[in-house]
This record gives sequence, structure tokens and C-alpha cells, in this order.
Amino acid sequence: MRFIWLLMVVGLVNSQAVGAAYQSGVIAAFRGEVSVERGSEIIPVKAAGPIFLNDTVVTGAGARLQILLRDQSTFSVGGGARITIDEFVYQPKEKTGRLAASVSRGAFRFVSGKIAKTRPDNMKVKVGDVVVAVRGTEVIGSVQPDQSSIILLSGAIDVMSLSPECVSNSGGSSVFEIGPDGDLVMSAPPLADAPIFCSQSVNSSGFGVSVSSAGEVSQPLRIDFDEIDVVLDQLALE
Amino acid sequence: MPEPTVLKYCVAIKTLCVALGLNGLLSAQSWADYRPANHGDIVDAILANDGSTGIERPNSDPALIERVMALNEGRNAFEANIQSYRELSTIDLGYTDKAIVQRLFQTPRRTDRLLKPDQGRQVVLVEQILANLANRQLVDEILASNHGSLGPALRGLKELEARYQINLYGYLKFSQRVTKTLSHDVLRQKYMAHQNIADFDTSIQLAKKILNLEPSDTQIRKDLISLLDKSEASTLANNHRMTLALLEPVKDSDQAEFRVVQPELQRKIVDETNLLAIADDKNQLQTAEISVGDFETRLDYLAERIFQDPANLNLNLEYFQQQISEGELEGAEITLERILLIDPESKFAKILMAETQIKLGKLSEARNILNRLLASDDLVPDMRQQALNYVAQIEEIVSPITWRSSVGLTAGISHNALGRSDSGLVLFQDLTLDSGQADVDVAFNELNFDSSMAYRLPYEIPTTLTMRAFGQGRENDHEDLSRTSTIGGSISLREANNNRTLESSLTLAQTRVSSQPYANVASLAASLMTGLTESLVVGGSLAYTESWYQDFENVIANKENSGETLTAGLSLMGQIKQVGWSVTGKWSDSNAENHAASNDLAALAMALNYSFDNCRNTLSADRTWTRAKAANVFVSANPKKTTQTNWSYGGACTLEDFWTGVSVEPSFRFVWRDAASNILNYSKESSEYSLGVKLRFQ
Repeated sequence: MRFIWLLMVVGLVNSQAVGAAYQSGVIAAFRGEVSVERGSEIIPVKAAGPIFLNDTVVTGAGARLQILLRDQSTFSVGGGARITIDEFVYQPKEKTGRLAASVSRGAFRFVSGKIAKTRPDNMKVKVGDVVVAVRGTEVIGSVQPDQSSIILLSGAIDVMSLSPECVSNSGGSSVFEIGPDGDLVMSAPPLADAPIFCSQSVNSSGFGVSVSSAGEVSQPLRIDFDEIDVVLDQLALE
Repeated sequence: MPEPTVLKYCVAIKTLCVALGLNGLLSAQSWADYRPANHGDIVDAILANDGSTGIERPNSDPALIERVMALNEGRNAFEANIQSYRELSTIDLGYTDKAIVQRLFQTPRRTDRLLKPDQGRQVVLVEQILANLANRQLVDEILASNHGSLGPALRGLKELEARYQINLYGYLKFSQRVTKTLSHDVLRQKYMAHQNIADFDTSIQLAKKILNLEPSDTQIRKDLISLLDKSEASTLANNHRMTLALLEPVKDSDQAEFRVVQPELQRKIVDETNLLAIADDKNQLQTAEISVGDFETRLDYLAERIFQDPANLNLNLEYFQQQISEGELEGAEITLERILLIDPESKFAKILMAETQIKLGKLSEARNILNRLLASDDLVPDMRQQALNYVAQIEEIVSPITWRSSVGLTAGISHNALGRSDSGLVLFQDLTLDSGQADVDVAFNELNFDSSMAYRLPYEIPTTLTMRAFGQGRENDHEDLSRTSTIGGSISLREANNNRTLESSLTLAQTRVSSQPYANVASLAASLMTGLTESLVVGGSLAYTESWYQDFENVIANKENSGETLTAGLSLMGQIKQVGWSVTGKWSDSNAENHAASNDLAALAMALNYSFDNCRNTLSADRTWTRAKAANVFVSANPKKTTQTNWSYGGACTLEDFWTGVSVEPSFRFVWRDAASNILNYSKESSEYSLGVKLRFQ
């Protein structure tokens, strides 16, 4: 039992000074040039090296990286990617917690773990200018300056734009916050009369959305194999 | 084979040289005379395979195998061979592949998994095992005979390799017996020389050799870490950092790179090839001894161990197997991704990845991996075959079009084939007459075909358009019974989403009697099925059918039977273990030009279906109540009412791929029918039994 308590990892949104003291994940494996931006420091990563809250992991061209979180969520990114674990709280005994991450550049794949299984609302990933609420379990995509893509491989996702036309600006600079009941919520709530491009649900594998530079989310479309291959090639191990 | 006189000469030279202490002067050409008497059998066995005989694979020589088998006498030969294979596989396979092979050999495996060599492959494997074992023996014995003087023995071995196409020096290199002869000082000198000229690659190799001889040389280890960092071999560098940390415990804990090293990890670092790595961040979480009991499931326990030690290959493999056994395919794929990041060269891991991705439906990804694997020249034959099988499997799944065809032939006996009534009488204008029909058994045969093409439409909800052609003909061995046939086609659209299936179809068919058109039918139908629970499905259907009867010889006013029928059905289906069951209710309202041919119908059908392996048995019963809307005045003053009961029991087994792409399905069927009617002529009982065979083409 002592171990169970040791496993509890606690993080707080926007409290870097506190958050940085706690490990949220681990560099499970990597190839190529990968570094961690921790505050003003840039640290080359090592296998099994820890990832702390608000660490931004940056991969060089051609690099590959897999990050493992304690709830068994996994993030894989290709070369030229930036990923940050913004929020991670996990209680192994109850298998509950909160997970928020941001992919601001590059190709990515994430597979949700225990948190999304127990409380799907409590796993959210900011991908470029949209937030992906994960209802399990596997999503790939690519964040580029002109257009991003988000493709569902299994489970279901909701994609919400953070464009000013879609959300109120009351959230300030942070994207996520903790709601009164301890759940992970968006700091900037969606506008009631938001246009249709602000939010889409993708419920079928092989379907996805594209996000324009203005933050407009397309309707879910079947993504053909070639397009999926483009993303997968950026994550492929060869 | 060298001439005996040459051998004698060689032995004489060796004896002379040994006597003079000039072993090193012996020529490689006379390698055979290094052979002491006590290991002659093995050497003779190899010599028996003279290169001039053109034997392509001398290692499979029966005499050689026999010798090695003799060496294994007293041990469990099979176990010894497998053990040898495990050990020897490291010569040709990378570290990861070796670990996978070992794990797969150790673990009971499902029969449909890969790496199940066929009998021919097993024979080759055993031959390789034996031959490799023989080679090792040979090397060991030749080395032993030279009392550690490696030079001349090596020259002899090289010649032997060239002559008999066998790998001896590889084993020597693998077992590092070549490098051990160089002293620590010599290696250091060479190392320093290469360091001075910034030859990093050679420096790394030499540093590793020095550390093999002298693991406690911390200065060389520090240099090696620096060199490995420069060459971006960070995992290996971390291994050495960890070893260094163990060799030089840092007294000041704040500066310690490795605060926590579990005893298990300490053991692992002894192996240079172990790809273990450990975090070195000073803020690393404290770890504690953990046991399975601390976790709800073994999977959770392994996940936590992986979190602490993500680069531990064996742990990852164990985790992978646990994930597969628990159906956690997505997690298994991630674990394989991790393994391949650690060791990108592992072909076994790639095959396992493709297999996992096919199960996940990630066909494009699986195909990419397989294509890259197949492009490599050094893929072993059974792995190549496995990859090709998977590619074929993917091609079949990926294609949006599926063709299916079948041809069936049934032969049987029909009892009361002429439909004699139970009373043997006919009611005609209030008179009862003898029907004149005998209660006869008639042999019959049926031929049927069914061919369909299903096209998967590119919609979010899985939708299939199916076009089908079908036909059935029946011939009876009795002059009073006509030959009947039905030929038709249909087009249907099926939409299946989660637990709901919606299907609509249009069917056109023509029935012919004795090769003449008898009736044409067009039917438009729609059905909806939805799951109430995981094992209970409810379905409803609605069909509109238009019939056009044709003028037909000997049938008065056949055309007046034409009309329309509206049918509604409701069914409940379920599954209890291997037994499926269904209950179906059906109602129809039929209106023909001839009112006596119009009727109302109600039917209740029940069926039980039991499946095992590739066989299924079906027992069904149905009861139909039919009431004509008007009387046929030529038969009776009252409208006909009939209650018909059918019992049917049948079974079929499918022999998959009996021929390439063709499955064979033998079957049997027994049907009993009983009709009761208010008109005597329609109360009758009949039955038939038959045997059939169907060929399915895919």
C-alpha cells in the first residue's frame, strides 16, 4: 500500500513552480535529437528520463519519441514536434485523474489510458488551435502553421475550436482549468451561438477533421489511406 | 578429402614443429594436422564433406549430424537442440529478435500465431542447430589442441570455412575469444593511438574491448560514454553511465546521477548488450519495491514496472504478451512501437507489429511495415512467407469489392411426393371421390447457384451495396411431377452501425415449370434489426410483392392468380453460448385477381442453431395459418383454411480451402410437413430427406 501512495502524482494547472517538482511522465523511448525545455533550460533527454508538468518536449528533424504517462496514456510524436504535458493528476487506486496536454507542432499520435477510460471528460489535448476531448482511445494528426489535421483511429472525439468566434475570452491565457467538481474544463467556455465550424464530433474510425489557420473545424470526412499514410509516415519508425 | 599421405605428412610436420617449439610457423594449409586424436570424429565428419563434391550445404551432412547426436547422448536431445538454437540464434539475430525467439519458445502459443514452422522448416532448423553445434565443437576442440595459441588455429579455421562454406570464425568472434588474447596494455596503446587521431569509431570498439577485459577501468568507461554521446548512441551511453555509477558511488547524494538502482537492474548491467537504461534526472521519483499484489491486475503491475524501466526489453515483451492475452491490442501496438524505438532492426518485432495492426484494422500501417520488411534481403524464408501471407490478407480486406459464389447439388427422396391427401379422397361438388393418387416415394435432385458481389461504399456508416444472382432447379424422378426452376436477381443496400442494421432490397425472379414461364415476381423489402442487449436482437421487416402469373398449359386461368402481397414480420433472435435461437412472427395479406387465390396468412417460426468448429446444426419448426378470402367453387363451397406445420433438421460442415479458394460444404436435411385443412384434399402429410454438397468460391 505504501507504494500506491508513492505513485500518486499531483499537478496543478498554471502553478509551474509547484508543478515542476512532480513527474508526470517518462521518456519511454526515442530516436534522434530530442530535448526538454524546462523553464529557461534546454536539456537533452535520456531514455527513461522524467517529464515534469509544463516541460515542453521538442524533437529534431527525423526524430521519434514516445512519452508514457503513469495512467498508461501514451503520446508518440515525429520529427519537428513540440508537446507539453499541462496537467496530470492520477490516483492509481481509483484510476481517476486529469490529463491535459498540448501539441503545438508536428505529427502526433496519442492513445488514452486509465483516466480517459474512467472519466472521459478529464482527458483533453490541445492540438494547434483546437481542443480535442477524448472519449477514447486513439488519435493521430499533424499540426502545421497553415492547416492541422486530426484523425480518429478508434473511439470517439469532440473537437472544439479556440477561435475568438467560438469561445469566450474569459479564460485568459490558459486553456484548461479545474472545475468546481474537480473535473478538467476549458477555461474559455464555448459560446452558445457559436458557428457550426467551432465544434465537431468524430465517431467513426478513419474519419477526421481538418482545422484551418483561422481555427475553422471541417465536418468529419473519411480520410483516405494516402492522407493517413502521410501522417503515419511522420511517425513511422523507419 | 585430403590424401592420407598428405595427412601423415602434416602430422609429421606438426610433431616436428611442436618438438622445436615452432607451432606458430605451421602453415595454414596444413590445418588438418592440428587435429589431436581425441577429437578426430568431428573433424573427420567435416572432412567427409569435401568441397570438391559440390555439396551445397555441408552442414546437413547425415554423418555430421549423427556425430553431434552422439555428443548429445544422455541428454534430452530435443531440449538440447532447442537450447542450442536459442543460444545460436544470437549469432544471426539481433538482441531483440533473440529475446523474442526465446520468449516465444518458452510460452505456450496459440496455433494461429506466427512462427509456427512447418515440418520441412523444422527439419532445416534442427539441421542448423546440429551443424552449428558441430562447428562450435570443432572450434573448441581445435583451439584446445593449440593450447591457447590462436594464430595458426585461426588460419586453419578460415581455410576450413572457405572450403566447406561453414561459419567457424563467427562463433569465435561472438564468444569474444579472439579479442581476449590481446592484452589490456596492448589494447590501451591502440586505443590511445586512435584517440589521438580522433578515430571515434575505432576508439569506441577498442574501449569496449578494454572494458571487456577490465570492467573496472573507470577512465576508459568515462571516455567511452563521451564517445557514445558524440555518436548519438545515448542508450548505450546510459548503460555505461549506470555501470560507472555503480563502480564509483558518488558520496554527495545531491550530485548523484543515479540515486536509485534496483538490485534487478544491477544484475542487468553486467550484460553489455542489454539495452537497459535508467533515468538520471536528479528529480527522479523515488521508486520502491513493487509486487503483483499491490495491483488489481498483472497488466497494471507490468505497466508500472514499464513506467519505471521503459527500455527494459524483456519487461516490454512480457507486457506485450500480457496485453495480447487480455485483448489490449492498442496498448500492445504501443509497446511494440517502444520496442522498435529501442531496437529498430528487430524483424520479429516488425512482424508482430504487422500482426497486431491487422487485428486492429490498421491495414495501411501493417502493409507499410510488411512492404519494408519484404524489401530487405536478409529476411529468413519463413518470416518472408509470413509477411507475404499477411500482405495477401490485407489486400483481401482492403478491397472494397467482395465476390462470393456457390454451387450446390442436393439429392434425396420425397415421401408422398404426389401430395395424396390423408383420406385419399377428393371433395368435388359435395361428392367424395377417390383421388387416384398413390402415396409414392420419389427421388429428386436439386441444383442451385448463388453469386454475389458486395461493394463497400465510402460512407461513415458502414454501407454495403450487394448485387446477387441466384437460381434453383428441381427435378423429380416421376412422370407426373414437373421440373421446376427459379432464377432471379436482387440488389440490396445494407447499412450496419454499431448494433443497428438497416437493409432494403429489390428482388426480381421468374419461376419456370417444365422450362415454361409460370410466374414472375418482384419484391421490395426493408428490414431493421437492432440489439436490445449484447445477446438479444429484435428485427422487423416489411415487404411488398407483386406477382404476374403466366398463361400455362393445363392450368385454367393461371393468370388470374396474379396479385399483390403485403408482408410484415417481427423476429427476436438471441444467443446462449453456442446455441442461437430465433422466434419469428409473420403476417401477410394477399390479393389476387381470383379471390379464391387471395388469402390472409399468419405464421410463427422457431429455430435453434448449434455451431461447433466449422459445423452447424439447425432444428426449426414453423406453423402457418392460411385463410382464403373466397371459396374455390370447383372444390368446395367454403373458403379454404389450412394449418401447415413444418419440422426441419439439417446440418452442414465447412471444409475451408479444400482446394485453393474453394470450400466444400457437405450437408444433410430432413423435412416433415403436415397440413390440416377444412377441405379433405388439402390435408396431407409429406416428408423428404436429402444429402447435399456445396462448393463455395471466394
